[in-house]
Amino acid sequence: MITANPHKWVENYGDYLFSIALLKTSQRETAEDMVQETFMAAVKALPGFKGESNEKTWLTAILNNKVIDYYRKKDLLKNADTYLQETEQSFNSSFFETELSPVGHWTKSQAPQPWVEDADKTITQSEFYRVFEFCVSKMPPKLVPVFLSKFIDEKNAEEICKELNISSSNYWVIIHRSRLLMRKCLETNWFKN
Amino acid sequence: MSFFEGLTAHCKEATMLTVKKEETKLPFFSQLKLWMHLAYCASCRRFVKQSKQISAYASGYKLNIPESTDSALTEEQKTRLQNAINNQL
Repeated sequence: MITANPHKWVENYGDYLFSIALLKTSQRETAEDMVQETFMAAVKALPGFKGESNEKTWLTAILNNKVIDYYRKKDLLKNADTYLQETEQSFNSSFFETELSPVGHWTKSQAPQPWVEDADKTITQSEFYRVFEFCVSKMPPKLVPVFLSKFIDEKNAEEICKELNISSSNYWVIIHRSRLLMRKCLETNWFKN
Repeated sequence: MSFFEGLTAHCKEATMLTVKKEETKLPFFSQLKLWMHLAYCASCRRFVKQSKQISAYASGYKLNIPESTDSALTEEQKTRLQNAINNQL
């Protein structure tokens, strides 16, 4: 039986929860508020904590719900449809040939290059994940919630569409775009020759 | 050429099919188009491979959160948060 120890929460999980909140909201103040809200909600829910999951998992789940509430309240994915349509052409033409033949093929600058992983680099995992965080911060804000729900929280399409109230066709467009951007950003900032 | 192009995907379509294939079962014809495209497109084969790497890296994020002052709480924030908790207990 695992028991919760709220007196150690900040010491044990504060930075962890804060990093996740910061990655997801990209604002320090908002992230701190969210961590505080998480702890407050957790204190209230303490009597129900049965120790079935560990404290960290339990607190992370509460935080994730707070983040979803925040996305909804800010209406971050409002007009996702219009946004995706309006940016479709410029986005696509930055990755794929739209005029030169062969149309629909990678442009020269975007075509995936082989990734070089030198031995020293793989050791410095923390450096790598800092680049990863940087690439998330460079992503258009409307793509980030879906990208992180899928790749960090490993939720499935159905769950994500429901939580963030988006259609499945928009879901695929967002996953496609965010993947192209993340791939290119990691290549440029980490895997380059 | 147009017959061939009808059967094969271009890179934009192939990358979208790659993304969908990770989570759903592609209709037979789409699967075939993707397969034919990958047979001759080295860039898209790399995209498939690197996509898998990206998923693997991303799922490791929570276990490898980089320690940096940028993404850490300050001592002041920590004290404030712990006090807030203690007041509620």
